[in-house]
Amino acid sequence: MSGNGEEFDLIFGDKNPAPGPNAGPAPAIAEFNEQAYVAAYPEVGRAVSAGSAATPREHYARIGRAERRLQSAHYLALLSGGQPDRIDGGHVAFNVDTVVMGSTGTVFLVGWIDDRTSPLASASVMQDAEGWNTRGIARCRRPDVEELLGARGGHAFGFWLVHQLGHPGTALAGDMQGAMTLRARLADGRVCLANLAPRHVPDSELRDTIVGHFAHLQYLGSPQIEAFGQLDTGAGAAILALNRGLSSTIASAAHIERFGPARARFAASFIICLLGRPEYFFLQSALFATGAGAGEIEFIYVSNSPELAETLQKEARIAERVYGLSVTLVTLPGNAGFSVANNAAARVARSGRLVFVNPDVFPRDDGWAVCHAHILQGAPAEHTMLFGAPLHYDDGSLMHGGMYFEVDQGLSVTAGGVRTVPMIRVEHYGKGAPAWSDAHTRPRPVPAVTGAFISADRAWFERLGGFTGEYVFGHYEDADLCLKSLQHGVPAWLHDIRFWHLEGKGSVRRPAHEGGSLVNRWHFTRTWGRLIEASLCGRTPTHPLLNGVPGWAPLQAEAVAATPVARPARRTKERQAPPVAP
Amino acid sequence: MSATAALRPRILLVSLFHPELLRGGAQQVCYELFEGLKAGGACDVTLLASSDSLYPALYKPGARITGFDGKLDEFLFLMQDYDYWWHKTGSPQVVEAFADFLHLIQPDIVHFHHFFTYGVDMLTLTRRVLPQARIVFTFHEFMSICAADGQMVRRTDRSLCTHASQVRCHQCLPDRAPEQFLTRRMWFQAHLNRVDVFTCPSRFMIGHYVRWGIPPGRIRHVTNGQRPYGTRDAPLPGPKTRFGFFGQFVDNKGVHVLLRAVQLLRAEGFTGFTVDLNGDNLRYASAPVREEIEAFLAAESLLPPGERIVCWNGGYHVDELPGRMARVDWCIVPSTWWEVFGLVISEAWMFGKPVICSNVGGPAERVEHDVSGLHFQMGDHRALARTIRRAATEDGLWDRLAAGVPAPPTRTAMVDGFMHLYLEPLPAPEDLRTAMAGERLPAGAHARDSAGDG
Repeated sequence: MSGNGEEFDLIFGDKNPAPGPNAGPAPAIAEFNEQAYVAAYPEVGRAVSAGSAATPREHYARIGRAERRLQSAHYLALLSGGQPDRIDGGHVAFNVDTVVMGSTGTVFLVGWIDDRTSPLASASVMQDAEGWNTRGIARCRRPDVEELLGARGGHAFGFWLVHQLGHPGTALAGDMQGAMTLRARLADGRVCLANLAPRHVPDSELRDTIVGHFAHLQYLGSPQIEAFGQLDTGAGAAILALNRGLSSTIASAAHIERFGPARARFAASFIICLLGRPEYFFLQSALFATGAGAGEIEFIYVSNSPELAETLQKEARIAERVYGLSVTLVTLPGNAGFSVANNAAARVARSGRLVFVNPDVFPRDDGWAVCHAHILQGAPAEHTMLFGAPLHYDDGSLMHGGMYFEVDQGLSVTAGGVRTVPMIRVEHYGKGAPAWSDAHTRPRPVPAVTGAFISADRAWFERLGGFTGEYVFGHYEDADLCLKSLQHGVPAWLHDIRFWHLEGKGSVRRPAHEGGSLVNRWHFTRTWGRLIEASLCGRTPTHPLLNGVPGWAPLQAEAVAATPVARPARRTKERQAPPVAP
Repeated sequence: MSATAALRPRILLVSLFHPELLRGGAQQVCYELFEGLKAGGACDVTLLASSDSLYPALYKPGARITGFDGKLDEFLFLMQDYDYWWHKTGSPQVVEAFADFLHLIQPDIVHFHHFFTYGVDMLTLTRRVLPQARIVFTFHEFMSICAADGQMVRRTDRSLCTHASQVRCHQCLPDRAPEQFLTRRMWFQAHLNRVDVFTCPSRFMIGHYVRWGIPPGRIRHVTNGQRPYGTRDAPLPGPKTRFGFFGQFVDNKGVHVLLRAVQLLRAEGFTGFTVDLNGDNLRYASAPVREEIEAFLAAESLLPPGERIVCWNGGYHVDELPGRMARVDWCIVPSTWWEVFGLVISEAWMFGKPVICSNVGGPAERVEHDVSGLHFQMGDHRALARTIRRAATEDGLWDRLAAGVPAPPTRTAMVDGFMHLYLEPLPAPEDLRTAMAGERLPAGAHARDSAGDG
């Protein structure tokens, strides 16, 4: 929206076309709202639970439409909240700035509305007389509209919504090229209409557009806190659903190519997810190949960057010749995100041990493979079902010695009152600690470990369902996996195999990724907030599985493999006595 | 290496560029070694010299390695898809071609002169293809340590760099994050770790490389040597006031320092001397240095012939060196970097000329101050001006220093040094390693000679 007052298209509520004297009966408008549909027809929820209907939308498309269920008085009352439509309620200034539609029927709509007198309650995207209604409308600040309307800050005029139209494959989703209208409804019943001209894009572009837009929104208050509230409206769930479907589609089209020595089984499968930077492929090949025992390990590189396909294929051929490593290249036709890409790679692994490694992680010692094998052989099985390792910055200090959780209690202050918004924050034990300190590197159970290095028993990983696929791009899926494991009775452990981690250098980060991280933080908070607040909060959580666990002494081989870093001698110079007054 | 190999080893020399295609110190030294080994007759030697797009007509369709101009035992390695940051090829075909070549030649010794243009990962490939072969690697400058063209000159203030670190390197190349210099170092060290023994043409270089992570026991000093192409003629009678510069007109060679010294002396009224500039490639100098040199030469050309001090003779071939050297009494080497060896010093000595040089690096190591030449403070044109004035005016100085000029190291000395290295038993290698911050790596290792300077 340009904000100059001339380019936007105002459609006022009282300009809705009224039936003329010669017109026949107006076609009944059918607006599908999932919550209202399920509330009006409880058997739908039961059908979905029983599996006889995939979703309420699918039920409507298959059964409800033919039965004109959206016309029932009960449903309409639930849809409108008891407030009938008003078409003579006076002017409402609003505009739709952008409409983008993905390839499987998700629409992203951005606009603004002057709803200071009565709030925007729901919106329907209509095609002819049928539409898909949502109350999940997120709001944001629009300084340009404030200027246009001469309104001082204090009201969030902006709105945006993400909404799946129909059920994929059903009539509306399959015919999205026709004329569309937005039917926005205020709480007092006033209705605004706007013609929509969607820009049709692939779902991947739609996802990137949505989270990129979300990353830079302004709010009346703290951006993080208010963003959480807006995702709660339903926008967050819609983004996750879009991402889940897209990622699954991408992963299902994975191309698998094997290089190097072929074996039926390996001791372990190192899985590395690449994004944007091909050089980490050959850097890791060179540096992981040097260790004793590296030949027992297969390396699976899964690429979320289709544009790198040819380069990676060439590098795999070079690595095969120069290093003799067994490499599998999993090329995805798009960015499926960290979780889904790693899960796809795990499926083609040829070992019972999966080791997820970031591309910017490198061994500090040649004995890393031997050390890893000795831990698996020597430690109790429950200590190795899922474990991480200390990671070090390039300056030698500790980057990661396990992760713990804090809860930020954000305050959202509006005219209606003050609301507390809890937000989970993930912290690393010992960030910046000197290399000689073992305070944070000794073997122990920890609330979580970073996904930069996770070694997991394959059967356990699969039982947990792998990484949760809803997380957008990356971030928080590692802690999510660890908490799933904890919830099933096995905490994550930290074992002392030392690696470099050039944190944040292994991939190309774009604005969309910032938006994805924020969505993920919201999703993680909503998923795990209660458990964390109850027993996992702080550096010393009270969760029983993290306490009272006897320590485990590393094997001799581990002690040998890890290069000891000598603690510098303390200064021996005596502190000088204070000068004595004459 | 097998016992039969010790009797008549097969040696593969891998060189960056061929001196007939592109002149340069490293390739010249490698070619001298190639010719010297052939002349010695004690081994079978093959030369594989890289070439790049400078001569596109040499690229034959589908070929990555070809013969070279009908010369026996000389081959060209035709580079493609070279990554100048990581120093590796991105072409699997080039990698395959090199592996096939190694299989075909089956050398007992593979001696790499640099990795530039073919890639440092070829060392790992060589070890993998030929597990028993001895791999020798000669450093010709500091490209492994220094991403700033391997010069170890700080781009922040043009001072000499003594050691690399993530932050120091980031200061020189701010577009690169500090972490990238750790990965760069690990990458290089992983491949260099495949080498059995390293050599440097100067002893001071060993300290730099040991501080960087190469174990002292794996790096040796073997001098550069060359065949004689000059003789010491009887000096002309009279004062020794003719000075000469030989080399490239790039910043690090310090021509601009010499011209500033000339300006200063002229301003002081001291004009009883001449300076011959021999060399070219001014186009590769930085813009400020190029403009300074061009402005000086333009102004000089406007002076009456009798008042001109500086004369630029242009570039030269080795065959022209006797004539050029005959026109000078002193050679000035005003380099503003470490100057790892200083081939021009050997050439000056060949013709019996004392050398005036910067007091750092290879020149300072080779030229003994006030015995075989004179040192001046690197980069200080005032110090150079004082030294020129002294050299031109001090009675008996030239005779004394000329008498102290040693014979330059010969090609035979170099060949003997390397043959010794190729065949002698080596201890089990100690790994290269990347130091953690705050750790100390062995420093100041004593150089072990495989051949003296002759």
